[in-house]
Amino acid sequence: MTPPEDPAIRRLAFGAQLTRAAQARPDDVVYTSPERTLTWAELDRRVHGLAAGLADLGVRHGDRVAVLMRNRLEVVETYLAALRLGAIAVPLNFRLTGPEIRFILDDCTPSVLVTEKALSGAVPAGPADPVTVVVDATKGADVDFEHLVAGAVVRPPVDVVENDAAFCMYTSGTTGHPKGAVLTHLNLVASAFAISLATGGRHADVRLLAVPMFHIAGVANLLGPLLDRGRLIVPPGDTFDPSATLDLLEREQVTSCFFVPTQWQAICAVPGARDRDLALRLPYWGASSAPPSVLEAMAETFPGAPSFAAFGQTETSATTCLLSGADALRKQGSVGRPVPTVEIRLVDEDMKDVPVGEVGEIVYRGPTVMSHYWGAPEATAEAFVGGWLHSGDLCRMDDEGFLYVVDRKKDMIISGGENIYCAEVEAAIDSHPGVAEVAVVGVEHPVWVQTPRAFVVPRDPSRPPSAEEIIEHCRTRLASYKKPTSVVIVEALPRNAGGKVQKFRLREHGGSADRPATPVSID
Amino acid sequence: MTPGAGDQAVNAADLATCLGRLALSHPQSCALRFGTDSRSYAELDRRASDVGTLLDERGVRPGDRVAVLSTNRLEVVDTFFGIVRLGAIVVPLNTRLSTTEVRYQLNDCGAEVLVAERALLERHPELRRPFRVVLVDDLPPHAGTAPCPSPVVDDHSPAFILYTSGTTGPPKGAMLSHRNLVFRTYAGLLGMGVAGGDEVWYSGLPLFHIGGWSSVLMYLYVGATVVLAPSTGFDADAAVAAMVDHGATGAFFVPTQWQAVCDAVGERRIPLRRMVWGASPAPRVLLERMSETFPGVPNISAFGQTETAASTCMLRGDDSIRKMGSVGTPLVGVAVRIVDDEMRDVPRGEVGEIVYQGPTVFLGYWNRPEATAEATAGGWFHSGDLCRQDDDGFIWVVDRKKDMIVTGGENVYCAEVESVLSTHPGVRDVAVIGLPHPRWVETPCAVIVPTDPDTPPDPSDVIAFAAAHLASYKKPTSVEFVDILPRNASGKVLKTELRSRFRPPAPHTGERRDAS
Repeated sequence: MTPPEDPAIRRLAFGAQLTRAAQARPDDVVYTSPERTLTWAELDRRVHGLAAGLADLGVRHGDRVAVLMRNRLEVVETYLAALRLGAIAVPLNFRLTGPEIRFILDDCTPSVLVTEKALSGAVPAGPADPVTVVVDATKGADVDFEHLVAGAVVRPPVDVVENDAAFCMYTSGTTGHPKGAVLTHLNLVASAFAISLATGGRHADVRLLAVPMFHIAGVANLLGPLLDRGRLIVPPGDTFDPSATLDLLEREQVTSCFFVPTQWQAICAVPGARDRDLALRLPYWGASSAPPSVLEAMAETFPGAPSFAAFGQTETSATTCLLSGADALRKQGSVGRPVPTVEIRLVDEDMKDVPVGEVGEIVYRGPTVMSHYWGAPEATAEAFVGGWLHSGDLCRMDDEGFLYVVDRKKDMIISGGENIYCAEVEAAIDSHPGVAEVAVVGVEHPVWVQTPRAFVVPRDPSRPPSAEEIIEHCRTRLASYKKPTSVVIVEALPRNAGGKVQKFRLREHGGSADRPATPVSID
Repeated sequence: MTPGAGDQAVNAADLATCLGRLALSHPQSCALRFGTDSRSYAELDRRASDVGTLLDERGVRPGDRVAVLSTNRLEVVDTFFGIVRLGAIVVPLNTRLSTTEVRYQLNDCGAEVLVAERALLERHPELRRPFRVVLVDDLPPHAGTAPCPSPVVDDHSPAFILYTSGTTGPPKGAMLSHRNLVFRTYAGLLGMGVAGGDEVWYSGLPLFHIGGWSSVLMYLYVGATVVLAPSTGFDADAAVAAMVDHGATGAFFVPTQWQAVCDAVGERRIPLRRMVWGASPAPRVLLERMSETFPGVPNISAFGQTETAASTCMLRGDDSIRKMGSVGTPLVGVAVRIVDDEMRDVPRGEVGEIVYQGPTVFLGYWNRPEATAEATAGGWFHSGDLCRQDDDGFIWVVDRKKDMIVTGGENVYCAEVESVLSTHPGVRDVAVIGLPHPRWVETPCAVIVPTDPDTPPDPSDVIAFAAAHLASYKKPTSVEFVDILPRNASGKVLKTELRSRFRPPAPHTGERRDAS
């Protein structure tokens, strides 16, 4: 006998968490950016108003609310208002091109799009356009965000259960088209607990959010305070200033934040960094391995703070493995060990476990694994074959349980922290009339770790397209970070007996971005 | 929203799935020790499956209640996991209950299968017949005949029913879901700062208590080792020896047990990283003694109740001295309010009842919709603890709405003892109060208005009468006679007045504190 469900008492959904946090500590500051400071009571009131305003626009339980903004308070507010209504937030990468955004809007058909003036023009008109809400609207047909916050009538609360969808996060795959990974409230709550458990979490972390809010890492970070009643600090602008960052870390007594190793190196190199009065407890690094010199500088600048590198993917509500700074020196190249709640196996094609030390695909189970891909039952079934989520990462595990990614089944490049799926770039280049065949691989890059390089077989070997032409062709079709930064014209692609392109040979051939392999490439 | 394919299996979070995960990630790590016996995670998982197979053969189906009556031993943990793997519900029984009490709980929850220790069953001979009995002593069953069924278990469904009394009436079965226990695990691990699989936990609590079981679950969840303490009589010297032998990094005892541990430890070294206590108040001298005996080891007190899957608040580290007497601050995910009778928040610093929301709040009382509705009135769980919150957010328990005595870590509900004593022919009226006790912290005292004032009943006869109907720890240890019970205008007995009247002159006072 399962008793009737009481709507409020056990709720973990984020709307309920916000209500409780505002009740418990109304006057504590929760959000600080250069433009504004907000207490829990103010955030709760604004989200309450916005939720009612969105409901007036017709947003209902299960509807999608797309969000296209740079990091700013209104992103947080829109997410929370959507979640409070039981609607699904759809964060959009603001670097996507118009056609890419259009594809996502057509796929998940949001009833409302919340955006800012500078980006609203990026969205091409489509057959069923969402109502557009603009945060800094001046005039015209768009709905004003602040008007919604202030003007709506009070509505009864919507009961949102933990297994309801909270976010639909678009991520590409081998197929080329992005898919919406649907994450539930429970997925994200379990993820927050898992990371806290793995890092010795405590109450009231002060998180500096230097990652994009449309990214799963950003979403996980900005939801953190709802559980641990901490604070969120959003730094100014898009440019990274190590000295100003250090000031901010000190002034706000930041306890947790993420930067890539080169950024950490710059922060640690600010004169007098070691003498600052810092509260930093959890410096995260990632996107590339940290060289020993950076790890040592971090250990000296932030004594006693265990640094961590996080590894995971959107479909697992972010982190599945963590590597601590202490282990990073002796386990160079490892992504670390699984966090609590995440169950892993390394398996072969028949879902049989591979022996320790051998390579297999890492597959996941656990409460942080996504619910499904939006509107894509076949892709979901494929991802969940055998009752485990297939990551596409080929890994081996050492005898101490540390995992090493040796290759990817999904053909992907990580450039500046963004995932680039080769199939998507190849499809764009393939549409160029001068291209007969193309293969895209990642090559080393001093700043972005990796960058895409295209190997092109021209239709007419005597008149191959120029590299500029290929890159320009991509610019209108793909987000800028996805376009190749070099193009190599080849007579044929290396293939195995089965006809599959041998990308490892192209990578060997490709060298690094600053050491072009052939004179025809440009950088 | 339509759930995706394989939804249930891929992101399942029921307790058996959690154990399965550990058996995969830590197969050879030591999960449990008891005396010289031990279990690896793989072995625990396998034995749980074997018990599951056996219970399935005895007809246990998802949602069925299976009672467990046993002192602490490894087979109890095998059995708990075996039951929940089937989607059935564990009903752990307090081994100190009388036959009447055990029978009441078995009937109330409708358990048809009883997993029991032979020695305990012999104490309750008349229990055997109506139940299908599995003897703990005969476990493990013959393995491998059939695989254990593993139905998809909704983590929202009940996993445990634990009996607890209230202000009125008989004990009620508090239902805790898988999710309650998993989130209690998350919150407890964060509250106690336990992360690594290198931890070793020694709990002085029996597994039939939520405090005992939830702490075991917590340490298993991170792949650590749990050393089960014998639940039959506390021997401080043996506890110290076990902690030394197994390298305990954390331990829970009630304050009087910590006192004995401090006395017994001598030159022996225990690698403790935290010492945890609860259930009743610890006087300052004891906290100081603990920090002298185990210098630099953080001191943590835990506060909560069965209906909240154990701890809701903890007091940690430096705060344990600075805020001594406070129960601390709420754990992650636990929302608290301090409210008046109309569910209005009282001003900061004033006294009200502490009420809770959050993922660890129980599903309700088994087959008691009215009691459940009452306990969760207004959408918050009513603890019955009267508290105030100071300016720093620390919570102080000042009294209880529920009339309860905590003796040696066990909760005794006065109403239950009073209802037994009122059936004694020599008793016209009775009130049971808690009086200070040097070893048990509190002990029940019966204040009786005799039927015939000239020939009051013999106190030892009254005590024996109670012992015949109730678990021994519930019986009064002293009896006082009065002409009339002091009552307020609405007829309620003024127990505060009785307590001050019969309290022996003693230096010890302390804040009241609930079981963890």
